[in-house]
Amino acid sequence: MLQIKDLHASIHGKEILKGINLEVYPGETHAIMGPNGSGKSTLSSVLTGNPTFEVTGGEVFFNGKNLLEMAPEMRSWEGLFLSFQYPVEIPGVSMVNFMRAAVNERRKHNGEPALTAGEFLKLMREKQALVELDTNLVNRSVNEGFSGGEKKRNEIFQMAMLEPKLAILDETDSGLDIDALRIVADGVNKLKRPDNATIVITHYQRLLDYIRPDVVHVLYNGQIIKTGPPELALELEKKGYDWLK
Amino acid sequence: MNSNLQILQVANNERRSLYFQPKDTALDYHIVLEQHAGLDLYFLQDRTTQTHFQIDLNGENAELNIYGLAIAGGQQKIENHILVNHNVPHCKSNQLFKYLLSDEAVGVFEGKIVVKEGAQKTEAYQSNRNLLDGNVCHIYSKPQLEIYADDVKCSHGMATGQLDETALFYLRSRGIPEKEAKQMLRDAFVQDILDKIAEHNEQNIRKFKKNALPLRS
Repeated sequence: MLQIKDLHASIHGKEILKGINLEVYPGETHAIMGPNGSGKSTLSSVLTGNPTFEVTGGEVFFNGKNLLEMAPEMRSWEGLFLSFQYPVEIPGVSMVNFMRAAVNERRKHNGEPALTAGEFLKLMREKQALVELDTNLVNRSVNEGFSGGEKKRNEIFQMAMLEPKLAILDETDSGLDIDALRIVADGVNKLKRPDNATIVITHYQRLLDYIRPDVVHVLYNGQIIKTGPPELALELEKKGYDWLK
Repeated sequence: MNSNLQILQVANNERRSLYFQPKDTALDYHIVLEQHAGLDLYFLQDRTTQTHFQIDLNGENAELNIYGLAIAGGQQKIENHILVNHNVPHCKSNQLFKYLLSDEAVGVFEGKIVVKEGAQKTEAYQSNRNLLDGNVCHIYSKPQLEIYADDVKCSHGMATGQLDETALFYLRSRGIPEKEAKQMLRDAFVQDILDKIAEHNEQNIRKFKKNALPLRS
C-alpha cells in the first residue's frame, strides 16, 4: 500500500529526514516511535504534502501511484489521512460545511453524486456516535474553543467520515487523559479493516496498549534505526532511546 | 471629493440605523447624538469609495455602533475616515471594520476616537482587521485614541494578516481543493460582519411586521 524509498526532506534548508525506508501493507498497524526532534512529525507532514517541507530525495508510492507528485487534496482523495498533532482552529468555517465539502469533493473525484442533506446528516450522526463527539461541537466552527481531547476526538471523527485507506495518527495521544485516550483508541480500532492500514506516531508506549501495532519502528535523527515486534515498544519504555544510538 | 456634507441629528431617546450600500461611494457625514440616542452604522463596500464621518456624542448615555466590511480587488481603493468624539460622560461607542483586499487594491482606515476632558465613564472600542489575499495589495491603517478623561474603558487594535497557511493545509488535507479552501477562509473572515447586518435586517423586518401588518380598525 505504501512504499517509502530513501526519503530525504528538509525545512528552511535544514535536513530532517535522512533516508527513510518503510513499507506498509493492507491490514497492518505500524508504530513509529522516537525522541523529540527525530523527524516523526516531519515524516507525516511530508507524506500528506505540507508545503512547508521540501522533499530533497527519494520516492513514495501509495497504491502504486507517485504520492509526492500529488496535491494534498489529491492525496486525501486517494485515501490518505493525517490525524494532526495540533488540529487547526478555523473560526468562521462551520464543522458541518467543512465536512460536507470534504465528503462531497471526494465523491466528485470518485465520480459519485453528492450526498443529499438527509444522507449527509445521517452519516454525521452515525460517525459522531463512534467517537462520542457531542452534537454541539459539530455545530461550532472547526476546532474553535475545543479542548485538547475534543480536538483529537474530532480528528478521529473526520477519519471516520472519510474512511481512509491509510491513516497516520500523529501524536494522537498527546494531551489526552486516560478516558479520552480510550475513546479515541476505540474509535480507531472500530475503523480497522483488513483492507486499510494505520501508522501510529507516538512518544509513549501508553497508546500502544490500546492500539496494538504489528511492528514498531524507531526513528532517530531522520532515519529508522531499528524495527521490531510490539515488545520493542515495551523495551523502549523501560530503557529509553539511548541504548540504540 | 464630490459628495455633499450631510448633517444628521439623532434626537433624545431616538434609535436609528443607517445602512450604506456598495453604491454609496462618496459619503461625507456629520452626525450628532443627543441624550440616550442610539445609532448603528453599517457599511458594505466593494468598489472605490471614500467616506468621511464625524460623529459627536453630545448627550449622556448615547450609544454608537459601527460595522464595516470593505472588499476590494483590481486597482480599487477604499478609504474610510471616521472621527468619534466622546464629548460628555456615560457614552458608548464600538467599531469593527474589516478589509479584505486582493490584487493591487488599496485600503485606508483612519479611525480616531477622542474622549474629551470630563467625559468620564466613557466606553470606546475600535477594531480594524485586515486580510491581504495577495502580494501587491496594501492597507494603510491609522487607529488613534486620544483620551483626556481618567475614568474610561477604551481599546483600539489593528491586525493585518494573510490567509492562514496552516488552516489552508488542514482543509486541503481533508480533500478540499485549494481554490475552494481559500474561498472558505475568505468567507470565514467576513462572516461576523455579515451576521451583524443580517441580524439588523431581521430586526427591521420583525418591527415592520409588528407595526404594519396587524389589522387597523
